[in-house]
Amino acid sequence: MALRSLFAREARWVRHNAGVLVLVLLVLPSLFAVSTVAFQQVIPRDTPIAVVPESDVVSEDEVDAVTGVAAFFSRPHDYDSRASAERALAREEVYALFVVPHGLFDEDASVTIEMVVEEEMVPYEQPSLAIANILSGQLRGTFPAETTVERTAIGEDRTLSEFLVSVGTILLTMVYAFVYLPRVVADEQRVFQRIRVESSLWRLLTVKYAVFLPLMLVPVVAFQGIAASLDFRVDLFAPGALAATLLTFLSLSAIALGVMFLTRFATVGRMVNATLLFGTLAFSNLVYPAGFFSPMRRTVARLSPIHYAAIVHRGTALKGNAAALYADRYLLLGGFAVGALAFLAGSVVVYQRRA
Amino acid sequence: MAAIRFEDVVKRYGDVVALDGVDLTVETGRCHCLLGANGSGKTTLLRLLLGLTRPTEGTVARPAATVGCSFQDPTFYPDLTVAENLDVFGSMAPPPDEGWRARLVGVLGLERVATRPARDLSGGWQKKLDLALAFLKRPTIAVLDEPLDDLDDRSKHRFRTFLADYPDEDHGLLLATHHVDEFAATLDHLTILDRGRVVSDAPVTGGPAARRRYLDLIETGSTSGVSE
Repeated sequence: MALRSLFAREARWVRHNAGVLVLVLLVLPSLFAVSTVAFQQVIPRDTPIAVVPESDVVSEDEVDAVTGVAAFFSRPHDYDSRASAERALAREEVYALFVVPHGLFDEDASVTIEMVVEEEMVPYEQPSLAIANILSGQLRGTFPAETTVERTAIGEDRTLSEFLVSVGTILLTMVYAFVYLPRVVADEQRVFQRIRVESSLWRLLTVKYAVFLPLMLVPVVAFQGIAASLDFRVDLFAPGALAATLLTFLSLSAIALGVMFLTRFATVGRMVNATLLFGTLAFSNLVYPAGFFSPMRRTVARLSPIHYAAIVHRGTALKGNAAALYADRYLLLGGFAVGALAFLAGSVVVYQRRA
Repeated sequence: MAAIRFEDVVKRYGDVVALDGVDLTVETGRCHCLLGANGSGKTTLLRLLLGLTRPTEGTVARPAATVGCSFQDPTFYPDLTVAENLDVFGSMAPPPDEGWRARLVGVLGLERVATRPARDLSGGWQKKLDLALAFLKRPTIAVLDEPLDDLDDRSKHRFRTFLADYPDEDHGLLLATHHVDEFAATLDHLTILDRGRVVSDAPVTGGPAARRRYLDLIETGSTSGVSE
């Protein structure tokens, strides 16, 4: 009889927590399953690359011919000049550029197509070597001229560990934003009524950010300290990198707190935040270049502001590029943060109205 | 002196009418008691008074009045010590002078637990801390929801004495309770709520009269037996 009663209690628990259970047992595993579909091949075949003429004498047909060959293993984009293509490379709009020489259709000529990649884009190093080799083989006999592919790596050589320090900073920031700050605020929920009488939730949240934004520098110090002790060449305190870290924290934590206020700090809010954290991790292509995975996933990643946060963080902390190169990305991240704060403000208003 | 005024206040939660056309004045200089059965609208009225929710219709005017509050569930920072809680909330709404804070701490005996984290306190001590926070800034109107719950008899006696002294020209009390007898010596105005409506709102002298009105309501189950 006692067992039956306990089963009856569990049945009621299921009924009262149906929403959470759907999220935990259905949505979350589905998200995992979808994300595995996105891992389609070991060597990327859909990576955006730039195709650029070496000089003005290169004909449109020659550019088109190389673009056509490149389309077998990548998604080529035409650029007018090498400078603009290299800018796109630095901004991770493309992950390699192919410089098309003149003379591809000249039987007596011997020409070299230059494939330019960045040393700092460590995960693309091996794939780019493989692509250069495969392409060299494929081009043999394709054009009248004797054609070879030469891979040129620009920038400074970096290890995978150095690359991951930059990515890790963004990843950890996401965990603080989606897990830690919401937990801290949830712990204080029991004092909200008194805060609302004596002060206001707006002031409480303002103070939380005034404290937690500087606190986010502490893990950066820890990362930088470890990196320095290991002789890693990465500057996590580059102003552009710091801005990316703090904007990421500000926007994601505002979303996470907004979810908590909307769900009145219920368990379902934590699960929603866990789902958002996982979704952002899985679909923002933080570690691998867009194009390592399916076209669908590349499209999703290119829609995620956090994808760009990782790019500008790498660009400024790892590659040493000027923050100005990513001005539009910072605007995007700033706009995203403003939108996230507006969401938080709206959810606090709803929370107070429902109270 | 009128400190807080409810004018034709209606509060609905969806289809549920929690308060229905309430007119009420809370004044300084008196100990005003709010009585009512569970679900009568007491908590909603207190929340409106504290600005924690807005009326669906009508107005709640609070010109220049400050309010302090003690909730049925004690409300403070659990990770801070008793003294730290008093410091934090004291800095939000400062006490009129250091002597006032010391008096509160003395009345409630909080010096004994000043350095203990609030979360480690027993229910009685948590209630005392909550009460101290309600009075810390010496508010115009102190709003207390079942203020004697969880207190031992000696603490109740000391705190009742404190409450009896609190109302003056600039200060007043609003108590919500089911235990009207416990405030017999303090009480001088009584409002009885029933199903969201004010069924009685009048001065009283002492607990017996108040209790009689309340019992009338309970026994008859309607407003008809309530005498003004």
